[in-house]
Amino acid sequence: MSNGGGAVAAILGLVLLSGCVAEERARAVRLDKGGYAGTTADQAVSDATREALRQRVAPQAEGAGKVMVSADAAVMPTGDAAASGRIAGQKF
Amino acid sequence: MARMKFLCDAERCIHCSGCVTACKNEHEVPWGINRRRVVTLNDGKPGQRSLSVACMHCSDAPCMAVCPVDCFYQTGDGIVLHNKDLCIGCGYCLYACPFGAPQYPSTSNFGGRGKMDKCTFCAGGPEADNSKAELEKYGRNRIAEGKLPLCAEMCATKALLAGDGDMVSTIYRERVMARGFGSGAAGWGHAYRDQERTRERKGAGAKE
Repeated sequence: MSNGGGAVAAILGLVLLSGCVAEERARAVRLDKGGYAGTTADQAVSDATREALRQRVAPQAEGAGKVMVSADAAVMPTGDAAASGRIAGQKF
Repeated sequence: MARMKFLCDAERCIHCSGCVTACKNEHEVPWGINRRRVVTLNDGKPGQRSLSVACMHCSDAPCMAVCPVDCFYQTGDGIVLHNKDLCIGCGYCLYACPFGAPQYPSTSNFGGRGKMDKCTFCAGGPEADNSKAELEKYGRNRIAEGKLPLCAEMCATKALLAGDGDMVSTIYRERVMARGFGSGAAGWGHAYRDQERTRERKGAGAKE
């Protein structure tokens, strides 16, 4: 009797497993981007800032792209990172 | 509407790591974290190239898709940013990112890791622009000041381009058209190939 019960359980398990596999096969893998859960988020920069950014990228071109920049704006950006915070005041 | 993008010109990159240093200094990035790094392809073989890699601010960012707490957002200019107050440091974004951009600070001696840190395109985070909180969590916000990411602006060979994707692609297209395909006009190939040719010519002349 116990052998019979075991066989039934095994068959039932196989049926369930095959059902799981079929379900997995049919499952479409889809990744939602998700909505930002925070309260605040940066928006697009202003038109003036965007234009300033374009003026700064243009000098990186040697070709026709540089023509788009006025003579005043065509300066080589030096970066203006000043020693501050963690590294301020250190003696090298 | 602009879409901010990085592009590294492999023909120009000389693996000086100036971009890595500039980024760490500008944002006071803690020990153990490199928001940007330079990788070498075909190391020691013909065709060796170096590339500066950081967050590529994907248009359809996989990190955003897998984040279980939805701490990522994309600005109107296509910059992918995240909120460290929401981040739980699970690491899913690191597994999803094809560039290995997300970084985690070590917070204890037993491998504990803190909240994710990555390149912000020098655009800070959700805090008020240029506020102390933003500086401490994400680094400086140069974009709000009308400045491009420092890594690109500091690049000595102008290999690393950053900015409006349309302009970046225009600049790169101009370069490729000017130099043709193969070795770059300002790269190692150009610098040494001509010298080698001169040497070969001299050698050939000596034999004659």
